Amino acid sequence: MYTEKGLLDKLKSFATFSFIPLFAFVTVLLIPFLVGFLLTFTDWNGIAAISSLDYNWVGLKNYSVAFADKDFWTALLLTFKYVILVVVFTNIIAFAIALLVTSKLSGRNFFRSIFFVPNLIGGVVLGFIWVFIFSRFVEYIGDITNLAAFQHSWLVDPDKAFIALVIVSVWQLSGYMMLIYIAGLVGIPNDIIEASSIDGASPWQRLRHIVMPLMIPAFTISLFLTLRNSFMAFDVNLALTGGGPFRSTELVTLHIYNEAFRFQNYGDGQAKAVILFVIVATIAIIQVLATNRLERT
Amino acid sequence: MKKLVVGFLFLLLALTVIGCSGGTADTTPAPAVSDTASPAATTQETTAAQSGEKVQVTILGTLKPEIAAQVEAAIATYNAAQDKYEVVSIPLDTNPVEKMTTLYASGNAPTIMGMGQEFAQFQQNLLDLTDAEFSKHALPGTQDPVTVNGRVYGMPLTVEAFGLLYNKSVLDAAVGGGFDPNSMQTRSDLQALMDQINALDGKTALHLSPMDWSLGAHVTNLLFAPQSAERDERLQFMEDLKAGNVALMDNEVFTGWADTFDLLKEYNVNAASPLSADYDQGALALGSGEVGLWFMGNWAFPQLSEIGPDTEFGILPYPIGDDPTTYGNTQISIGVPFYMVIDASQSTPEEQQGAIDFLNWLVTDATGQDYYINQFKFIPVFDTFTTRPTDSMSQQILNYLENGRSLEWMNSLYPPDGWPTMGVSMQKYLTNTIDRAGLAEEFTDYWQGVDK
Amino acid sequence: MKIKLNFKFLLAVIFAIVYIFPFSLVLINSFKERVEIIANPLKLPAEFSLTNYITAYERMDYASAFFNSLIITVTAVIVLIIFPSMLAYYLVRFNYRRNQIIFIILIASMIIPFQALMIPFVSIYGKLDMLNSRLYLVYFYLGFGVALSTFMYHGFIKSIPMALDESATIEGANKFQIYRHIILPMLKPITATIVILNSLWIWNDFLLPSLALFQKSRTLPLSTFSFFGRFTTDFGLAMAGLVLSMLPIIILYLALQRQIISGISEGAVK
Repeated sequence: MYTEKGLLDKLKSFATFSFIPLFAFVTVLLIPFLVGFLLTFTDWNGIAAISSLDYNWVGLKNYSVAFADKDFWTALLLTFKYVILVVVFTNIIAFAIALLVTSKLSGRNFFRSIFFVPNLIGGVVLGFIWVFIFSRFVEYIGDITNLAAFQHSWLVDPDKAFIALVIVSVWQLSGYMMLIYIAGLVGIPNDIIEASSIDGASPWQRLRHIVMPLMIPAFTISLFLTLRNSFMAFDVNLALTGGGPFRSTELVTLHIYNEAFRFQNYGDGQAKAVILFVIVATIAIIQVLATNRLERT
Repeated sequence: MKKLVVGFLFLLLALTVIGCSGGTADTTPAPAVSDTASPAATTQETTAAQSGEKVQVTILGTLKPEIAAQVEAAIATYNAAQDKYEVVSIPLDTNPVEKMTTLYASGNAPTIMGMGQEFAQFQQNLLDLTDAEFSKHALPGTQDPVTVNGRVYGMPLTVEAFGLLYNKSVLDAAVGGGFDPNSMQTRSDLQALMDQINALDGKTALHLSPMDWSLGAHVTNLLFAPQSAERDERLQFMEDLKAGNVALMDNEVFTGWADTFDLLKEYNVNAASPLSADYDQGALALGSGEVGLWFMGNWAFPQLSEIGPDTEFGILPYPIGDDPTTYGNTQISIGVPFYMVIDASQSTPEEQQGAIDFLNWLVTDATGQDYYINQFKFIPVFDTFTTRPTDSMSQQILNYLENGRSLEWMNSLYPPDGWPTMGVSMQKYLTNTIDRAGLAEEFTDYWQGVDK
Repeated sequence: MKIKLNFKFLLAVIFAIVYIFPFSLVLINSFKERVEIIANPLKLPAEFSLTNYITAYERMDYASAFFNSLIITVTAVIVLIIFPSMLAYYLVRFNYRRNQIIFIILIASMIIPFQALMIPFVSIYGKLDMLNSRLYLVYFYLGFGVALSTFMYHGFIKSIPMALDESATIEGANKFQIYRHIILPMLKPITATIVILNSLWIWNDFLLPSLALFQKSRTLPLSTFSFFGRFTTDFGLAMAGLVLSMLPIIILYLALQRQIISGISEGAVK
């Protein structure tokens, strides 16, 4: 760590390294968010110009409405369930695939590209394709095999629709996280691995005691990203199930979006977004600080 | 090092390129200058008007995404036909309410927009169109939903109708030649017809679409609209429902309506897994003659004729009882899907004038009307039209309309969360997750929770 | 040993099939007509006609949308290498209490649901007349993307031993030279990853361009949207448009693979 004495030095290094990115960050992201936060205490309707001040302070009314909304808590609970499943499966699969394609494997570059492909399909088309798979393709399998689970579309049953949502999310996110694990794995100097092989460590021991500890920065990033992406999951939810059947798979961001833009309760929606932010930010900061501590020890 | 220098050079180059083109392509004056427009912007616009340049009028989207190309062509024709205004379409690429909200928030509201239920939310920003030419020619009743304190704020674009769409070839075969739509007067008639279709080899009676908007906005309309032939009484029913004064299970229309829906459930080709079908599968089933009936609206006509180009398609009422004289048994739901409105808060008077001029052109000028009828395939709602739609389904709907056999679109009076919520209840009922009493209870609960 | 290798290969193949299957559906259906797709999306096309591609190319105004997407993505991605790596270096190596706080705020900011700031965002920048310009869009990408890239660099810079910095200081290098000549070269693997992730995000991003480029200069995702209707979609065209818009990013990925591999060999030398 560097320590600088003079104020001028401090200012100079701050200006060189961090002024531009922090300025962009504050103006583009932080200020609009704070403005949005302030607006949750008003009855602003989302249309009037913010600078017109053509709205009233209503105190915590939007928050009390949000807290009283049972559907919001249902959506939040479902989101927690979803996040746990997605984070666990995504990271296990992504790490396994990353190990596979960084090992001695013929055509590993080809495979890396393949695992990465899901990230290229986004939004509505992704939903369209998977809707086909979970409805028509599943029924097609059902016809051939006569298995009960495949007789009807998965998207019309609340439990199976939820599973479908998790599958698609893991499928898409794991390719993304694979990239981060690959970056971590290739960053491990070969001599360390070789030294341990000479010492007679088995592949599993090598993985457990040599590779994994060196991979902690990658784990920090990847865990955080999966947490964040699954809490913020929106496109997949909208495109695949649209929250259906009967709003049983409506995750919290879709719930907020519907509240603000479909049911036109801008204030409630905004307040729910703030509540969501507070919850997820707490979890994420704890996670990052905890894994950061791991890195130090 | 070399790579970094190259990188920086490229960055510099890229910034220059976007900077420059930003100077040319992107600094066209903001289409809608807010009411607190900077003096510079105002001068620019005035000089533009004086020097004979066209005033730019923005329209959000292309009326309907399905007819984008035709609408673009109409706009180009309009722009070439006069030298005062230049209509430009702003692509509508997300949910319309979201898009309008963000455009308003950014001070870039389009001059012309299409609005449905969100009308009330935006009304204070909209231009009074009572004295516009097109308002004087709109058919009676079509302006009711956009009339506030006796002033009109929207132009009805067209009418659409929903009911039981049918494939005439299938029905002809089912009844043994020459199906007559007027023979369908009651629920028993419908049931008999569906039995006849089922008796055909490889045909099924009906495809029932499970989308929440179809069930929640359209099927439920047949619960509200037939409550009474008198508009005041229908509205009173809605108010009573909000006040908790209606026992739906004892309501005659509710019972009849639910009985018919039970019948549709029973004859549905997807009865085994009723939620799995999507819109396109419905179009395919009816268009190819796999089924004889489909509960949908005439907006599906282009897709139907794409699949069955030589087939005739028509529309039947959704009966609610067995007495042919009951209001609702022989009527179909006809309404204005959305209204064209003009922004008054962020657009200049010239832009507003241009917007009115364009809309007038579309429904009063011979060329505009030609686009309206023959390209957009709209059913006219103005007494200025001399040409009539050419396809059978539109003609049929126009007949219903002219003979007073139409039901109001009460769904345009639902609150914004009305159809999604009732759509969910309908889906539960469709899959037998709840029974009829449960459906009545969910409807009652929803309406009692509505503010006001 | 031989058997084990084959087992690994087999595993990779199975995974690959699962991952590629939906994509192959896109490819197959991009050659079919709308009605053919609705009737059976799993069937091979009756004939491999390029009609969809030609129509999609024209309707999307592909050349111009491609150019817009390219210029915005490339610029924003470069900006998102330079500034976040510098910021991360600053946050890791300069020992100030507030750096910890800045870092926590950056992390927290990544959790903000976009809808929560969308309306204030367009409201502020609409007033400043900064919407509808590609230059400002790049600036917005810096603002929205700086946290994630900084976060990723942060973890990797921390794992670089201080000893390297110290020896460079002894040789008389200043802070910027250390960053430039010692730190940055060591960040190659993670930079390649960040480039891929950011270009993926920006290339495919729909929401921000739809807010900030409402009139002219459409990007590829925005123009693909024109195939989607209110009730139904021309899926053949949409799929063809999708294939057209993801081809460039596949090519970029294949190109950057070498970069990642060269990162390995450098790691071995060090």
